[in-house]
Amino acid sequence: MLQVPYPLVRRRVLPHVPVVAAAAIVSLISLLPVGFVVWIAIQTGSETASALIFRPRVGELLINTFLLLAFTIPLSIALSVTLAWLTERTDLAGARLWAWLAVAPLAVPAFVHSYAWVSLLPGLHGLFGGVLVSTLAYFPFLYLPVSAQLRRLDPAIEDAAASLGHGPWRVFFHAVLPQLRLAICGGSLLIGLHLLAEYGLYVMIRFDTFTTAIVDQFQSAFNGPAANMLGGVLVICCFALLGLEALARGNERYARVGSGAPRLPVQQRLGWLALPALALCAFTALLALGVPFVTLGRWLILGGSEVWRLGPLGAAFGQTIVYALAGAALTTLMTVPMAWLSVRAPGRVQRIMEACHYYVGSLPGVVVALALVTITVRVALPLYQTMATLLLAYALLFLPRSLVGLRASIAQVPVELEQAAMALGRTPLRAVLQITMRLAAPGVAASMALVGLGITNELTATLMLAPNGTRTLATEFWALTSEIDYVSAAPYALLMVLMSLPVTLLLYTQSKRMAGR
Amino acid sequence: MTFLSVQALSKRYGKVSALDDVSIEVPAGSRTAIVGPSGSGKTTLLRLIAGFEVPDSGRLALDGDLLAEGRAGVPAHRRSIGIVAQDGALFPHLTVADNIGFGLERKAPDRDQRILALMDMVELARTMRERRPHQLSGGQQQRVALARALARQPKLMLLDEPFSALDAGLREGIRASVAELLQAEGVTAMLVTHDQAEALSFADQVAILRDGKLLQVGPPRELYMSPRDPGTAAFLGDAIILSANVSGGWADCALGRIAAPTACDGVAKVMLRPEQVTLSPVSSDGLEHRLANGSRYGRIVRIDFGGASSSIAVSLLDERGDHEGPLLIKTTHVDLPPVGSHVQIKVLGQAHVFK
Repeated sequence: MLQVPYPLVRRRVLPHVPVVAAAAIVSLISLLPVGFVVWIAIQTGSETASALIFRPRVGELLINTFLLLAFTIPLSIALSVTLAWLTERTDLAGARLWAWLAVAPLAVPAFVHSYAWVSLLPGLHGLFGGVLVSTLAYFPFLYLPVSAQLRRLDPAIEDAAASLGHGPWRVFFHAVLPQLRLAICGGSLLIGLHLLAEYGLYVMIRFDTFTTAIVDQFQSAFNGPAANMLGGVLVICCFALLGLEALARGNERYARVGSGAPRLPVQQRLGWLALPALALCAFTALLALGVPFVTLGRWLILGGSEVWRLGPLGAAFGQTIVYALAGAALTTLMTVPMAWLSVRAPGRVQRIMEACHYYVGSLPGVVVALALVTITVRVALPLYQTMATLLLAYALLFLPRSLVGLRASIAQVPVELEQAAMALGRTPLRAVLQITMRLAAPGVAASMALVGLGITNELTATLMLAPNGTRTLATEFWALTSEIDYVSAAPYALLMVLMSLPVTLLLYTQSKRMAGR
Repeated sequence: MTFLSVQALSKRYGKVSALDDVSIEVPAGSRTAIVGPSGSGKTTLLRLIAGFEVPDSGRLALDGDLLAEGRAGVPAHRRSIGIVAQDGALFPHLTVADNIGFGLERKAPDRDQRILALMDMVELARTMRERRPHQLSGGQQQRVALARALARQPKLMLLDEPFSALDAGLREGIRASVAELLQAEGVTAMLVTHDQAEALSFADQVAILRDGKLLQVGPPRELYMSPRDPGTAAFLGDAIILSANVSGGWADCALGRIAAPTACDGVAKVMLRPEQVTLSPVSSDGLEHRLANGSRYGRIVRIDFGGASSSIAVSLLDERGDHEGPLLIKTTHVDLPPVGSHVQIKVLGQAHVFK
């Protein structure tokens, strides 16, 4: 007399099919830019393609890119590791303040850095200028992970090395530095990708890279094969960087061996080095923060109250906020399925889809924009230069930022809570929404803020994709500086910096919390 | 009458068989404990019953309703099965009252009264209703989890090691009050635990799982005194396993002639629980003479003092005065005889013969 209370639902071997389907769709969308590059290469034909690729101009750009990477990355590594060690492991006076000042340059968009330098030293240009400004703008990307790693490092390793008869320098180079490898590789990759993708900084400093060349081509010839081919080479450069980083990272074990909580690290006494150390910290802060703020201040004072034309300024501010909020919301929505899957149901298929989510964020904005322009023009013309397309570009560019944050915050919600809600009569979807997403909300908000910040300071894709008449803070700033109206541009730069400050503070505290402090 | 029926349930994770052809019947209103070492599949069984996992094959029925047959099943939220997890799994963003009311209709007019009644039922002070889970002790959290699960008046309550996170002192009291409460409410319960003492004291029926297979099911006393094999015997508590000559309902072994109700004769292994063995101090004069009379004596070789109960290692003396391997005996005596002294050994009750 068995009866069936509800129709028995046959469940599939692969569970969570709707979620997997949603994540798969996002993965496919994220493959669009690379698919576009491949498709364009085939369309163009090998003869035209090789004529466009193998020419002196491309060689020139390749050399420029190589030199930029070859100088900026080692310089940033040396600077960040020194600063991180000084602020984390020594009795440097005011270490907390210097630590914060080493992160703060992130609040200044890269093209505002170059605007400050160019208005201070109008003659600054070429490789030297590029390396100087790039290092100052991007070294915090290395400082953050390296200092977090230094804080987490078990001092017992150093003690052991010292007890084996190594002097302080040898201990640092043989026991500490290898432990920082993952952080250094990750941070260098991030900087390298930014160097490849950045547009505004290098235009102002008059240094040609692939990205500036592509935007030039795009603006003069709209959608010519030349721009697309350069885009292809740029994508190959990005993949080369990714591969290089994977090689350098290796797969050794870096986690602490053994149990128990590590002791707090001991602080090294600086002695006579204290003064040079302070001087280095102060000099870095002066170049990376002093220059932008002094220049900004000077332009603002020169401009007086006249530059504060509240109408256009307010409009640009409003539009920026709308784009940032809408873009962050869309990005988060697109990453929720993947984030949930990678925490709750990891597997091979899931890992491949996750890789799709991650790779697209390493592509330069200019490539994503080129792809979306071509696709909308050829396939979906009504979508060309609409807000929808621009938001999609933002979402693709910032998928990894969003995914990292979402995944971490979902991972903190035990699956037992979801199951408890189901045992109390909630459907699986409602259990995820009411419990998991509710508890993950603070982390989700933080990752949305990071995406929003990225969108606020995004220039390249916005210039190429935005509907006519769009005026964001970044594009307005860009338009004014292009006309060498540095005075009127200053309020826009100031607003971008002010909007970025809270999020930078958030990054700083997050890296502290990551280390458990 | 069978209330929950588990028939030939199997579940594999890749190549690992987590649960292999497990069948068990649970009568209405009873308490069943599933006990086994970690990795034995007991939590998998619980998750299959709750509906969090899908079995590969087998059948589940509750109160005449089919819950699962092979890969087809009723989803977890429609099974009306309550679950209390190891750490309570309280929702950290909700107050005690909201946690308890989570499964109640949001617009039910008597919602507040029912929440208060449930708090009374699990002996939580009403003043705690606005507290957050992190402001509660472990025991209080488990009471909230129980109240939350009871609120939906489930047909079956699953308890997933709910007492293991509690302090040893607290554990017994809460276990007893939970058992009492479930009995009073007439809720059928299934407890999963790796602690055999907890299983034996909590349940009317104990099932032993090992490597995904069900080894033995029965009332606690029967399982404890008549386990199926030496491994099960050792899992349920300390055991003295001896070889014996069994004939006519008696077993002859190193501890003498002990009653052993069994039909089969011949050489077999028999089991005694250490608490069946008593030791009384004797003087060592004339032991040889008394040994010849059939009484059993031993010499204390080691004492491991353990507070309330200590374990004593006794080496047996036989007629020739030779020593056999030492026996470990648990005792709650206050006066422990000194090491090296002699004791008389007596056995209470019957020996269990392994087939």
